[in-house]
Amino acid sequence: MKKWSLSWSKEKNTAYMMVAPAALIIILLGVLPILYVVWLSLNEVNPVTMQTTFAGLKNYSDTLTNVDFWKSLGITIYFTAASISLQLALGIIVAQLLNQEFKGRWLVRTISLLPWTVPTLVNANLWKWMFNTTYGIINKVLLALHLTNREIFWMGNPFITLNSVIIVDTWRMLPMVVLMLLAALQTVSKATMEAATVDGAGAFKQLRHVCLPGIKPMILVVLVLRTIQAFRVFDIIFTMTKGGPNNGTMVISFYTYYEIFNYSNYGKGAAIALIILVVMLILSLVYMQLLKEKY
Amino acid sequence: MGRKIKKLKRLGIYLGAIILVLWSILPVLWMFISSITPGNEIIDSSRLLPSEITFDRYKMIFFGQQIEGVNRNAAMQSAVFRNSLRSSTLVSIITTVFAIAIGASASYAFARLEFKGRGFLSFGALFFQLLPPIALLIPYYIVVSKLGMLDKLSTLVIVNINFVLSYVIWVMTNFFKAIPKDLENAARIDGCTWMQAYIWVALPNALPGFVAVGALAFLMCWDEFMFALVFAQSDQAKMITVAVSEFGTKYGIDYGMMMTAGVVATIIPMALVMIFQRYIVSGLTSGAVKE
Repeated sequence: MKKWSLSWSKEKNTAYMMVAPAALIIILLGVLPILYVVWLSLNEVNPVTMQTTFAGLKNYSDTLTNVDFWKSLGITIYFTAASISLQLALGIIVAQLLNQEFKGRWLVRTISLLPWTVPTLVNANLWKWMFNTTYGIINKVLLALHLTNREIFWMGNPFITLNSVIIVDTWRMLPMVVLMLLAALQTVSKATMEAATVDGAGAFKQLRHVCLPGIKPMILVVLVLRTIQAFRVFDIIFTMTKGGPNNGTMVISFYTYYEIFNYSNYGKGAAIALIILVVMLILSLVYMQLLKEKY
Repeated sequence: MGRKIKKLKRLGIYLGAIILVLWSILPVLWMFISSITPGNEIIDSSRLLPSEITFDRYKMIFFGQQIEGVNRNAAMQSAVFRNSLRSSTLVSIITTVFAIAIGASASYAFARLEFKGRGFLSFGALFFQLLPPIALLIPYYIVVSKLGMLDKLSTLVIVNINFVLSYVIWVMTNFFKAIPKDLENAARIDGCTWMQAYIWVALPNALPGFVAVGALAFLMCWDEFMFALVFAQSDQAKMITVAVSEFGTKYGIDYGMMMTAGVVATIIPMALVMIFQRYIVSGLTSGAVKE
């Protein structure tokens, strides 16, 4: 008994006790599965018996020489880059707006959070319904306003569809970006801003020289977070387009999912998953380097 | 001149605010309007707004009351949806509670205590934020189906906990770092062990942090789709993110019911965000700003 209380008071032992459960879970549900994925990616897996035959790097070379894989990666990169730039640009504008003082600001702030509370799947269903060719409200309004004289097939052309999906993603994620940027903007002191105004800096100059440098670390954080999220996009695509039309929205997560569950190609699925992981790792290392350099 | 510019600026701000409000509110409003539009009007391409409203779909989705003009599978689909509402609530709460109970003590150790392997372990926790879920899908799927654990709520908790846990550790570590050390030092001098200092001093002080992390972790679980899709396929086990899309017949989607289900599925997260708004902002940003 005495021994116990003694060891509890020791910093190191306490620390290990406190970390152990979390470490155990991360090893069991994270580390081991990933090692298993690495092993699977080096094998041909029989989907029925689950028997593995060692295949070396065949799954990787198959993947890296596959046109569909590169096309899918390209689509994912476009999706990620476009949705993040759109969300950052709009996010800075909206955060700037909500940082001004005006009557009813708290109400506008609260309402602007609304889209983010809609679950991703509900969001996808909702926009799929609004984009519906015949009965969707978007076409109905466009027709009523005579902005178009015939129905637009929002989900019919790869380019339009991909960008529509980006809008859907932006509608839901913008509030999160705004929240984070706004929190950073509020730490840029009012005095600095006022001094800049007195010195004759216009709104644009103020933004360029005072606000942006002040919120730069947060912009980087948003970049990291949103890149991680956007690169793994799956649910919106699954619900709205199933990768179509003409594979135009076949993002990498969905491509891998197909490989696993439609072709029961576990080995190749594992290889693709690991390639994605490496891409994400490199990206985040670059971001973190940027973050470190500046601060 | 100066006043004119000021007036213009005012105008610009209000214009921007109005656009922002419309952009945020109209789609949600449309979801609700669609859910109360009579069945024959929802598929009337010449009509913008309904001529009358009906709450029949809500009666159907909550009580299974059969109604005119709704697809004949709706009663069964509503039952599955009600079930999924319960399953998702359970899984989200259990996962969140486990992740916080386990994650909080680890975060405290990372934030305060000196021990070998601290850097490595805390980096490891962060690393799992980066893991794309699709990478874990294959090993999870193989093991779960081998063990015959498909369609069980406990499986959903287990596969979700990894991501939620690493998020909790990431944010809570920063919360603990932000609490002044003096309080715990005082407690230590008074003869408390580290464990006692953690339980009696640090935990109460980190309570706002728990609220923020708890709400966000709940939202993460509520929103999870890929694992729900793969691991809970039977009607009894379906999660809300899957059940919410499954209204219709083989001839087409029943958008009216789907929007009704969407409204219901949105109520809980919306209430959570609105109630804990102040805390949630800190949950989103504290992992990020201060180091």
